[in-house]
Amino acid sequence: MFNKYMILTRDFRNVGESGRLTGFQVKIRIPYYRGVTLSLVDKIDLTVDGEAFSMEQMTFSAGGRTYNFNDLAKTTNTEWAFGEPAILTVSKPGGLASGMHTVQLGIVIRKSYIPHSDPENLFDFAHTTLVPFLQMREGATKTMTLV
Amino acid sequence: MTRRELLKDMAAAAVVTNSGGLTASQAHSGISPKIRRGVSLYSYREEFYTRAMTLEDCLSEASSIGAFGIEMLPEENVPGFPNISSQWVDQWFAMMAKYGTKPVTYTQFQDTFLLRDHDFTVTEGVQWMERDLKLAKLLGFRNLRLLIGTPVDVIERSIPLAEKYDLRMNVEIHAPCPIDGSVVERWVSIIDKTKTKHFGLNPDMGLFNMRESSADRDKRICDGQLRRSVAALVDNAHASKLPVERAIVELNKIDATESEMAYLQAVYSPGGQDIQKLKPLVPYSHHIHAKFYDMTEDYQESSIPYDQIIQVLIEGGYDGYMVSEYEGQRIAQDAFETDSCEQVRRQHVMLKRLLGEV
Repeated sequence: MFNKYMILTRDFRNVGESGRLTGFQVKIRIPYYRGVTLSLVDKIDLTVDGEAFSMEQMTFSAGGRTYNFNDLAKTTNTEWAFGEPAILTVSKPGGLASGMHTVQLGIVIRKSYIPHSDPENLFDFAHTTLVPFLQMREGATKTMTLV
Repeated sequence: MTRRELLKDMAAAAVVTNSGGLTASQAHSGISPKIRRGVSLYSYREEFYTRAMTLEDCLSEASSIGAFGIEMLPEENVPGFPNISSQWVDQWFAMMAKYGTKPVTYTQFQDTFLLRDHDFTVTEGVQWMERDLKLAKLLGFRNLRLLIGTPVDVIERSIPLAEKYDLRMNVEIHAPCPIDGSVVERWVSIIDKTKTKHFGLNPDMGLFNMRESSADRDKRICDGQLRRSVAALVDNAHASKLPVERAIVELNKIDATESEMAYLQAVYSPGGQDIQKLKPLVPYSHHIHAKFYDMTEDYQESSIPYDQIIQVLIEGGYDGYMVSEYEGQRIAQDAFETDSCEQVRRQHVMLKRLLGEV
């Protein structure tokens, strides 16, 4: 859901310190119909021009604070708000070259629709029909220019 | 091609499901004062997400169509959730007063998988529920919508809290849940056993989705999976109750592709359940989701037979809100533009007619 809105063109840029480029930033929005507590942001994968970046190479900034993915998993009192851009800051010494880049993004949100524990077998109807769709990776690809 | 042009080209298709028989209002002459119209702001989520509409715009729009009962997902519309500022609460009530709207249902999400290392224990689940009961109370809501998969022991343990805050927790019966299945029986048995007024049901009318919606059809066409002529043939065959075997023969004659056969199967294999089975659940129901996918220009919902549904609700003595839940943009994304406000408006023209308001 909202896959076409996940990757924002605006503010796509390199970042650095003391004159050296250390990486780049891309703004992203949630592919879901509500905001979620940060701990529910389960996985993010990012590939730029075929080069894949792991979650360990990124930080996630939302609501004016920056988290690495270990912190994100433990944050249960703050949300990634619905429709609100978060910033992925990706470590890449030298940054990205000026020009056109193809950005591929995948996000998995942990959704609690059907409990794992079902001692009374109340949710038998859901295990084959519904559950496979709940932890789906939502993906998007966008080609955009870095100046 | 715009979707309007596409629909014009398809005039021959004439998708009408609400044909035949009396409308609920004809059958019951007079208005149904107990069934009130509302909207879940979920319906406007795409416009809210892209910031084309603010929360105030959504409330103003709901008010302007007489949909005064508001359901809201706080995690969609409330800035800073779950840390809601007192200034924001003041603004919320000021907007309610300005537009004559009423907070009816707070859409709760029991995030049982919140923590990475374990699923919520019952105690943690009840604490999460209490957080939302308090926030719903703060915002003046009367009901909490519970997710279908809210663990039953968490619900049972939360009933005293719902009584304390005087809020009704209503668990949503949502497709593909069988309306007469074991989980529904379990919920009803809790209500019967405890005689509580603070736990009930929230049926979603997507349970009665009788055929693939016209929005799905149009997406298939836009995606190049379905020729317009074939779609029209299938729609006409279905509308005129041509048996599926004969429809398959007709499609084979014109060398229909595999994906076109899949459309035929989708139209002919309804997932919709027996609407009469809703009737015994009406006395337990405190809130209804008027789910819809696509309202046509002549104010018909292409897949959910609201005339039959409203008749059952009136006969069952339903006393509460029916709130719009527009789902079509979810189907349409990337295929064509949708206008959530126009779609909800069309549904309310239909609801007013069926409820005898006109």
